[in-house]
Amino acid sequence: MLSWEVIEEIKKTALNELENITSERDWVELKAKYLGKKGKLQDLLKMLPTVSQEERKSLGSQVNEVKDLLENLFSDKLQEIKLSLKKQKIFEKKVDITLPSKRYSRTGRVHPLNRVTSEILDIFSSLGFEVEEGPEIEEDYYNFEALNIPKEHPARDMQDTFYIDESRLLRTHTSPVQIRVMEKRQPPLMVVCPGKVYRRDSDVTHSPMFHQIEGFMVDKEVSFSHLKGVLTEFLQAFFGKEKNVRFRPSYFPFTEPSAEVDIECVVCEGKGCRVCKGSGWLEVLGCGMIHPYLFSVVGYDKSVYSGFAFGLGVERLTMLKYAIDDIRLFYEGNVSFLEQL
Amino acid sequence: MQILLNWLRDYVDIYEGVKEIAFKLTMSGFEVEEVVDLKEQFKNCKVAYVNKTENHPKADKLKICEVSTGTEILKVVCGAPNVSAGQKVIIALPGARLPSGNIDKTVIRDVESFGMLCSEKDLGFTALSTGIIVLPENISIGKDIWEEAYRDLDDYVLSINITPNRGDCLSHLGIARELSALTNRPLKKRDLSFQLVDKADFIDIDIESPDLCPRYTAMLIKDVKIKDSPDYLKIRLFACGMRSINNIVDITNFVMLDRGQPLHAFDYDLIRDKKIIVRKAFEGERIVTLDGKERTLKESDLVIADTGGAIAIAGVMGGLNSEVTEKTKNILLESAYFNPPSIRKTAKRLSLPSEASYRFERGIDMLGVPESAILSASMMGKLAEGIFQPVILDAYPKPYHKEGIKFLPDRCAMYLGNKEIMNKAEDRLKALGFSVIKKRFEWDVTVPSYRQDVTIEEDLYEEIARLGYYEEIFPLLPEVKIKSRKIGDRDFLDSLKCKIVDFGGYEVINYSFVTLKELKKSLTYDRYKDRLIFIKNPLTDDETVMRPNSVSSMLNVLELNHKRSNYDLFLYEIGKAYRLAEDNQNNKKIEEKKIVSFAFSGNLWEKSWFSKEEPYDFFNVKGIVEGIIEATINIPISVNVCAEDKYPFLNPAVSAEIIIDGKPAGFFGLVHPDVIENYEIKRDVFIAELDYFYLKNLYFAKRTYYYGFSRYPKVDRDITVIVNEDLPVADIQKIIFSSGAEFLENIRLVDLFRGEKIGTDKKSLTFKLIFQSMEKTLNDEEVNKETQKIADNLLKKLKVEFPK
Ligand SMILES: [Zn+2]
Repeated sequence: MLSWEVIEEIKKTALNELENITSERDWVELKAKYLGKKGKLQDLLKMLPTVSQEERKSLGSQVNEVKDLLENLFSDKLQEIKLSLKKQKIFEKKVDITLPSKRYSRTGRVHPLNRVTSEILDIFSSLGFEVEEGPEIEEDYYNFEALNIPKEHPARDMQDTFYIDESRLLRTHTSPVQIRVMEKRQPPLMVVCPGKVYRRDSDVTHSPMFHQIEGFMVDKEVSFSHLKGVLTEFLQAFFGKEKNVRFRPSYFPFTEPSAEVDIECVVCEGKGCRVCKGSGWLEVLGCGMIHPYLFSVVGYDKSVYSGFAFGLGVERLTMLKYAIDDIRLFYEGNVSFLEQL
Repeated sequence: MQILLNWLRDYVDIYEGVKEIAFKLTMSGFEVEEVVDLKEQFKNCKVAYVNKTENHPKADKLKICEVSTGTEILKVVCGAPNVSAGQKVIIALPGARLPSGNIDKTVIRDVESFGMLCSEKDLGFTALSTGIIVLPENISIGKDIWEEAYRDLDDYVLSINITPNRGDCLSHLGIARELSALTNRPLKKRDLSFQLVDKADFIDIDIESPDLCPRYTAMLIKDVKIKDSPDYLKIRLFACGMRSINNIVDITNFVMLDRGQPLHAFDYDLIRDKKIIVRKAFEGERIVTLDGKERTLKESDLVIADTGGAIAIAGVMGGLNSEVTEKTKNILLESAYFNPPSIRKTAKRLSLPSEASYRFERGIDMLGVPESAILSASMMGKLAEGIFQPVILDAYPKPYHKEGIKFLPDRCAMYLGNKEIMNKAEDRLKALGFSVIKKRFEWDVTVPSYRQDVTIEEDLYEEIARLGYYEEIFPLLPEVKIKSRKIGDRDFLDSLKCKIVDFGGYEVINYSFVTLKELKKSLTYDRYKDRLIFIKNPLTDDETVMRPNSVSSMLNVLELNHKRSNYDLFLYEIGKAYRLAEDNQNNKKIEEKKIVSFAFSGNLWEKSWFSKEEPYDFFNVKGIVEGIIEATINIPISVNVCAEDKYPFLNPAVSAEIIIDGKPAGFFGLVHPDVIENYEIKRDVFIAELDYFYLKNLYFAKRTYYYGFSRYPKVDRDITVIVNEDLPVADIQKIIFSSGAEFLENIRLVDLFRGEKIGTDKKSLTFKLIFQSMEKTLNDEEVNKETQKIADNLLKKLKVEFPK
């Protein structure tokens, strides 16, 4: 007998059963069971004619309400089942993110000396300098004579030289590039010259082959102030803005006045330690105003032009930067060393 | 140069502490490398009293002394013959660090010894020992030795790095002059009067080479007593790194350290015919020098001779035949100026660097020559009871002359970048001994005779600036006249390196020189033997050349790494090779050629949880080299078989020449087993070398263009052929491309199979043919037709088989 209670009972069971299904197949079955052509609600509608006229209308609309409700709930349920399935499928492929990565090659390394060289050249480049290079097997003339170091000059003792023959040698510094560039070009010039240089010397801090960067500027009215400006800018860019820099009188045959440049010790910050031999200062480069003899050699007029030049050792700066205590490590090619830097 | 602080006080008043003095000197161009407190060097050296001595039971020459140090009684074993009870002596207690060694408690022939009784030699004062020091009665027991016994040790030694231009500062007088200028305190003079004469009856001087010896002075000091020097002299010499010999030698050394003038003392009675000849040596002339060695001279050497031959090598070392000995009575004292380059040449050639030659090489004060003579003579009078007249024989054929310097104050201000300094310029120059006459736009500056280094106006700029420690010059960035930056070598270098690093390369830097041994070991010698550049004076005895390529350098690096268990390596170097090359006129010239070198060993990647290991082999090395080149210059490479003997260090079966843009650009391959045998290398090694400049030129020359692409789909077909093993794959690919097949866009080898199924000496290759049209979508029929064309061509040209 169709009654309000019967309809409510069916609704309640349907809701219960709907709650418990998890698969799309169960959902199809359940939907057919209640909302299908031979479903329970259809059965109820078929029973409508058996009730009294008065009740038919209200029970009819009640059945339709339940039907609408169930249609909505079934449709929601289907969404829910689909979503949960999708989620389940995604998490089936969950990975252990801590497994080591798959790598088919190692990452390479640029040699620390060359990386520091690039860094230095970049700084000078940003200050307006160009890069030039020169030969390593050099003529005595360019390495010494043209740089105001004649034969039998005591300054030749400062640099013990490898010779190829009477007139050719392995350059002992990058300064000859200065002459070569000035010979073929006219001022204004702002040039840096990186390269290998050679001296007969070998211990923990000396290598028979090492790397220098020479730099120079020639123009009208270039002064010692400019030299100080450029090198202070460079050293503070390289070692840090807060580092103090000092210029000390010194001697090089190819500059006059000449100076040695010290930077506040990077290890003890000027307090004095073993690295700076207690002085608080580290000598990092040599420089000066280009000696007029060089101008006379290349045919520049010293009453028109003046210039400065400087030279720095890449090994020294690299050793300070990375706290390396043995210069020979640079040339061994031991990957245990290279991969740390 | 060692400078003694109290010695400087002979010339200038000093009120500052030693640190302040070191700072002033350092900042004005005399870098003080170290300050040593002399007292510290004699810590634990005390005055003691010998209570009693007894003979050592097991050694005849040793005595066991009981000494009192004032606070304790100690037993000390002593070997000096002059030790006896009642003496005041110096004991070095355990912990003392003497020039002769560190003192510890020891056991000497079963007897414990709690220190050492010192001789002057033990303390480093003298060269020879004359027994332990016996101190005078009035010295107090228990005192440190500098307190009463050797008061001169209460002093500081400054170790100063004197630059080669400042020969004048290789003396206490020179440094004192600097301090006088820095502190504005007057320089004190040693007041010694003398008379210069150009003839004397005691000796004749004949200067044959006035260019090499412009001034030579001599004095005669008679009846000297050769003996020990007083303590202060010994200690001053000791502090400056010298040892006391006897009073005469010590005085000449003292004057040299004091005034920078090297002196020589001859035994006057050994000079034949009382004639000094300053002349060039005869070629092959021999002389036995003071060190007992016979030297053979050349015409370029300057000698001091008498009528019988050379008696000294001028400025370098005296001769044994005129040496001052204990028997010497009369001294001929030489104070002279010798030409610096000549002295340097001789000292260098004879490997006889000395304190004297070091100073002559750097130029001494020509006007100060006689003053040094008279100072020595007066000391010989005081300390050796010598008798002399204050008369100096002065042979002076080339009198000192130096042009003044024109100084332009405006230019100096511009040069230093500071006008203010010019207000102090005149005072500073005068303080340094220059004289200045000011005119309207220029000054006439006269340089003091001891400042041989100052020759041009820029030298004066430095003098002015350095007295202000360069601190008055303010840093200023120059105006940059911007040019468009040249794209240069470094752009290519950076780009190339970046690619190599991407592929996993570790950069190494090798020495540019290798030994012949290493070249032979790596089988590279034969290929380059006529083109090697030898180093005349290598570091070791091994014959050394500039490396003609990088093979032996790279093998050395691999070996070092293998020895340290690093086997999986991909190394690269961008460096130079150095060879002799012939130019158009058949002249040999030196060629420095930049090369890119690679070395591979072990695994490209190691076995892991996702993959088995992949060792370096010919093909992945080929892939890396190819990849780097393509990534850098965007040009595909091809390979050629190498001529079998062209690269003797490579295995000819597994190596190839690299062709880029139609020309050979390098090589790569497996290193020859005969090479590997010579090294402790435990894996296969592949190497490659590329011509840097060739790549660089392509990098800058090659223009890359966009040429459009097809909008229609790609269609592919696989084709499998069976061919003889020795047919190169490149030949098959060439035939495929030349089949006249339309729309063929690319081919890829997707399978390579060998096995009994297809017969021995055969290989089966499967190519994927990729078709694509620029105009339309291809249909199956069209693609099949083109594929058939290819198959037909392969059959016709190469007689390939197709699998059933
Ligand atoms: Zn420090």
